[in-house]
Amino acid sequence: MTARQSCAECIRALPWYASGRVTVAERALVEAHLADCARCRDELAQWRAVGSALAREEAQTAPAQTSAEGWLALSERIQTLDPPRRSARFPALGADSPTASATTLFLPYQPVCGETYDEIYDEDDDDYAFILEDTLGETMSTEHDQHDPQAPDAARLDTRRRVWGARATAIAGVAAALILVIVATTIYAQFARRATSSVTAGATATSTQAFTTAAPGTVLFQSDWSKGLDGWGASDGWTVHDGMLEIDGQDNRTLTIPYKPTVRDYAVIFSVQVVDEPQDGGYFRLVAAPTSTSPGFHAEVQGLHTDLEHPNGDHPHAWVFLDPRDTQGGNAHTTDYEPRHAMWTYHVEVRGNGVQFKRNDSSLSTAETALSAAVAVTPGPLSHGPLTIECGLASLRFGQIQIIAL
Amino acid sequence: MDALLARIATGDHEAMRELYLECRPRLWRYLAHLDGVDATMLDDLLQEIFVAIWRSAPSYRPQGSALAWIYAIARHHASHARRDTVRRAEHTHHAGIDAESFETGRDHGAPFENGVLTRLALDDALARLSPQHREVLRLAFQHGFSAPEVAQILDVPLGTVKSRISYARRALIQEYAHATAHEEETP
Repeated sequence: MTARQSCAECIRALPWYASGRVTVAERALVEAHLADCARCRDELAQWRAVGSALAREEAQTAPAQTSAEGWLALSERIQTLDPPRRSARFPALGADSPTASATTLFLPYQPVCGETYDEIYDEDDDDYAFILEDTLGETMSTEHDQHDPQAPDAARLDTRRRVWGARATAIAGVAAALILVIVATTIYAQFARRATSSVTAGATATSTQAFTTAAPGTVLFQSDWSKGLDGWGASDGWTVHDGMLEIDGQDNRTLTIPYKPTVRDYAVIFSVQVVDEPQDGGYFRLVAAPTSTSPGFHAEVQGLHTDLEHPNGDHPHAWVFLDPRDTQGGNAHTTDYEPRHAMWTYHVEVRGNGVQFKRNDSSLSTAETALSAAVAVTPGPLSHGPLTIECGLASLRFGQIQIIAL
Repeated sequence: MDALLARIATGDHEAMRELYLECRPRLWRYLAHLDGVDATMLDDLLQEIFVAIWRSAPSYRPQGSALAWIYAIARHHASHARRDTVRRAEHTHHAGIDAESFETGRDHGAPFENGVLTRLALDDALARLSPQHREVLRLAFQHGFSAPEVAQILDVPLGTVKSRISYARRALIQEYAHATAHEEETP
């Protein structure tokens, strides 16, 4: 390792070394390097000064309640609640989901508390602040129709849960009868195919979630911007030049593909060129919004750099992850990835409950680079849209967007 | 903490009390420093957070840090509270107050001996960092979280945390230079 590489590694680890939270290996690296490097010793002194300054920082207010008073109030509150229970992330249709019905199977995800989909992001470009962890347990179900920004009243929620429970029982009974009629009039092969197509969505979902079939490679959708962007749901900033779509370098730009695939397995293929990064942090991503029964996904390249020096080695990267995160089996890996300024073609391939994010290495070959992949803990399928391109802080040029059957 | 959450998942009130008494002070400090959170609502916010922990305990999987999981829930609720505060502020046209107090906060005026002056310059530089940068620094230095734990709390990749702390350092240097120059100009 060169002295410069060693410095870079040391500088990356120094804030965590100063705060006392480094791994054993990092500690060894830092301490070996500090012995010979005055510059890094100065850097460490600066981080320690920062730590001291933060330790001096006191809150401007004090709690109005003591801990004992706070616990008393909390204790009374949780006495009125049901015992903790594992919440149903994707409730069976008709069971506990006000928006679920045979005709709304592919309705776009409705964010809670009246937010728009964009608002689930923090003001920061890459800051996925809204945790669909469903911390209240009812977020995906009871709060679906609740636009009151105040915290939900526990008693009201419990009442509502009981009402929905009663309704669910009645609906489930009717649904079961309907299913029996449908099953009796449906040929066995079709029934068998549907029965295996969805394990988690419940019987009602299974019988309504029919996919069309198409030969693998069939082009289902092809962008054509020659007549403008009507129907694309484009935010400000998009322009068409010479058959290509261009976006300015502002933040929070979106473009919704006016097509949702009807086949089970599909790929979205899009070509992107990074023309310019006016500031660090540029990104672009393909987002499939989650539905009431299917996890969505984000396939993204983020942290694009300007050409300025970046001595601390932070790096642009690519990854794909599911939405909500807790539907994902394990963590999706990220890949350090810097597209520079070439036009690259990206493939987002959705097969059942998995999604792969790849880059084609050349238009003349089938060679490709795997960027990231994610698999849901449930059998699937993943969301089929709406599919949206989101980008910001980078001037981009899109060559084409294509959706094919797999 | 994992064991406490496992007991809470079975409806154990005593475990909830232990967790509450252990976590409340540090969560208070974290929330009190988050930008845009209404300090007068902190008791209510904390109660909502602990109710969420009570309800969500069965879904906790001990694959990361339990404390980071709790902070992530706190941050999620604070972010909702912050949006509500912003909406109210926009509605009542009070949005300018923050900028005003921000400027006043910088004006500490009187001359100090060098050590104190430098310390104040650093405090000033920290105060002028973006909320995003300050939050990463606070989670690391005030709350003692490691980089992977900060990533878990902020729900961002590990690389993003490292990038942010790197940007924070760069911004701090710039702000520190600015604050020092400001103090030198002050008679």
